[in-house]
Amino acid sequence: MELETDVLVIGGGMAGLAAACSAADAGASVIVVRKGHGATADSSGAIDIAGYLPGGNTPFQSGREGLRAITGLFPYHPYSVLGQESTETGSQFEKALERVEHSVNMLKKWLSGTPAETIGSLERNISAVTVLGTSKPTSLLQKTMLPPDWDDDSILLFEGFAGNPDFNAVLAAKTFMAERARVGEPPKKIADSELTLSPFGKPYNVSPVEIARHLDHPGGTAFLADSLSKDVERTGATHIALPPILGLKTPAENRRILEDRLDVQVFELLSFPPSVPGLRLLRSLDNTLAGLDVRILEAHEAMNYEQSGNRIVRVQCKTHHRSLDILPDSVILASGKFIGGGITGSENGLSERLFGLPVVSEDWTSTDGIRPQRLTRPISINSRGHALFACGVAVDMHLRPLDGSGNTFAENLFSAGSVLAGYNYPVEKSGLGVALATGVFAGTNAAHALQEE
Amino acid sequence: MSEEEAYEFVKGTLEEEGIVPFHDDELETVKSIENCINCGLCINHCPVVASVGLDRFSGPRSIAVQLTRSPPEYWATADTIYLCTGCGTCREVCPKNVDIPEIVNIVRARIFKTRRDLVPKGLFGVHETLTDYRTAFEPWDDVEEKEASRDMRIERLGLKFVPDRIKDEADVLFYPGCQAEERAQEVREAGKMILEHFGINYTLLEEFNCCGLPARLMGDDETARSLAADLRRKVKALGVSQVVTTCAGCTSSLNDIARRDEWGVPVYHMVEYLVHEVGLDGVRSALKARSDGVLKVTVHDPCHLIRHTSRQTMQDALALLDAVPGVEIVPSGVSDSCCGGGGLVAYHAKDVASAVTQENVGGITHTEAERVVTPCPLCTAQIEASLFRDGSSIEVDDLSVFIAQRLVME
Repeated sequence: MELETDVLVIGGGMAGLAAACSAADAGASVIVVRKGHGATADSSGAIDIAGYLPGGNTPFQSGREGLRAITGLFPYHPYSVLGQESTETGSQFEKALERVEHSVNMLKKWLSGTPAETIGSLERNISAVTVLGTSKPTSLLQKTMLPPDWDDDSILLFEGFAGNPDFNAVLAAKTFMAERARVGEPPKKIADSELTLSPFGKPYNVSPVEIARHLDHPGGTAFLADSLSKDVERTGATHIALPPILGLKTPAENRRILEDRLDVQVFELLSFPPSVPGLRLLRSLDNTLAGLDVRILEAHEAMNYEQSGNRIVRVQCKTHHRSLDILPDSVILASGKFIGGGITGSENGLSERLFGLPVVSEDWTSTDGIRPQRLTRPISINSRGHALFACGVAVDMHLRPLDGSGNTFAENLFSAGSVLAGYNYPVEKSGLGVALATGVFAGTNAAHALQEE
Repeated sequence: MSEEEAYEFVKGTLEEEGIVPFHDDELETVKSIENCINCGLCINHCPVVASVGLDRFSGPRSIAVQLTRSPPEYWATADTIYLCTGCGTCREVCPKNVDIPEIVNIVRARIFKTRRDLVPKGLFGVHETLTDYRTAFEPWDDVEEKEASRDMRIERLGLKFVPDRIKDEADVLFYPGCQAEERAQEVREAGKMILEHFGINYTLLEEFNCCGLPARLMGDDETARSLAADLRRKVKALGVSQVVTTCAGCTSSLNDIARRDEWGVPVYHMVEYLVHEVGLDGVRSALKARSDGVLKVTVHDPCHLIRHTSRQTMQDALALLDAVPGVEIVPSGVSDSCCGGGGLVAYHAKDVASAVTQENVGGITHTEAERVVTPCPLCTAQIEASLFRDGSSIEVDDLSVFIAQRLVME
């Protein structure tokens, strides 16, 4: 079977969905093929733009500050590529900032009114609290995850759920208290407690998504409020930190019920993947795409392609027992890195799976023939990170991948997200931000390329 | 000792230790476990976990990692592994392509072979029927009664009787599947009507046998392989160039075994056959509205079609429904949610199967649909029973029956 489309997006994570949204916004017909749910669904749901400079220990105060530093120091970082149009004026920062700001605004619009409605800006990084009690800088958070303001009189209660192995309230409270004391900032009183909420009758092996679904049921959140009230009374809590379980469908409403009934402020912590907010984010973006008449072909894996001259003219996809050929005018490669499967490693080095594009390391040298272990450092957790995570494909200023000799691989092939080289998202805390901004830019470029024809 | 003898000797020792070697065709699945990054994304999507909780059914991830246990220990999973409905949602969302539904079958096969005492008792009835009669449902004692039941169904649904066609040199083998052979006979009749209507040179099997899916799902690998071999022999003897079935489970199972055993013959579900082989235009001109007014219809996507064959099959089904005059399709939002009827779960844990269907019932009853249509006789039965229990008046039709009812008769 064959399908024709203006823009084909390969990959359905943040980069692919942002690309699809912006291409559809620009009037193109769009098909997204998605093999499985990749790193975005598997994330904490926080959208980081820029948290640290590689090697640095002090977080950026804002996404803007991060962009300025990154574009100033790394001329081939994906953020710098976004700013390349203004190279004549000497700085990539202004244009990059404009593009990232634009994509943040687009994302907020797409997520407005969804369960993943997002808050934050490039002007100030948010210090989000994790289930370990640690803090991390991020730019955008889902509204229910924003830590509220607190003062010296505030009492913060970390509330865990019996049988939920993903969150230990005692440990989180301890860690958070130590950190607060170190920086000398409120809240000064921190408590912890555990309540029993057994959606299926037994207080063990309770997964976060079970609790989230339970809270979406009528009466579910009210019951939680009743259970919480004893702990609030006992501790005098003014703020409650919950693991991210406030529902898949109506988290804002569920939080409001808790706050109204308990007269406290409630927020969700960032958790390990796969998280409820990650699922909310992916589902909300999927729904936005459906509203834009974009077709998402689930469980379709792009396997092969045909090139005619300097253009990709056909992409062959397979499903479990069938195949499908897509005839696109433009293609956006947003297939992810190691989790998404866009780039795979073997003893013969790293390779881009679909087009066989050359994969480069953080110093822009080829990874061909290099065992992936060689791209890691001996100390597993260090502020410089591992080169392995900065590997990817090199691109031109329109985000079109380059071939082995540095020429554009195909004039209608664009790329976005973690398949790109040159940014080390685990240490930079820039993962979903780069995915979003390059996604929007690639989508716009792909749609723009159609109009030129 | 020759190499062959040595191999047999080693196999003998393994047997004493309760170890069952993997078949060559299972190795790809076994290897896929190596890719599991233990992320647990699958747990968030598993319909059984959503319905009965992680404590009752430990979820796809735990199943995936079971295979990394030392082999004789598989039995430790017996209380949960038989609760998997085999819907395939976990494989679909898995970022690393771990073939969890097949791992379930492989583990069940080991339990069935080495610790049969742990196999749910409710499955032995089907097991006996399969080994005694080579079909999943016990054949009727009295052929006349079977025909009377068939005629009653035909009359109630307004179908036309078409005599069975068993002939040499046919192009197409029509394979209705066990359910349509012995229980939902209307689906078998509808299939014949449709093929007859479009002048297809088809045949039925002279002696029907099950494709082996139920045997594979309970872990009886030997029976599954022997049934598959029988079927292959019959298909080869007929020399047909295509196989068409009206059952979703058969579609995926036949595609699996046809690929594994190299049949060299494509297997289609009726919806695919109508859209791609007969052609949508031809089908459209052969259909009429059944009554005045518009019938609001919602669909259910059988797991064995969308996840074990291809999501494209439901695009075909929707295109077919769209071609029927007087039908309006209403989305339910839960069409691709497992109906709970799979994996033989309903045979021994009815409460789990029913809990899984509740998601469908909730979604369907919230629409304005007057009818549910699905291209699978098993889903039809499961959803029909659940809607009935829920007090809903919405009826469920198999898609082949729905189409056959609307064929223009001379």
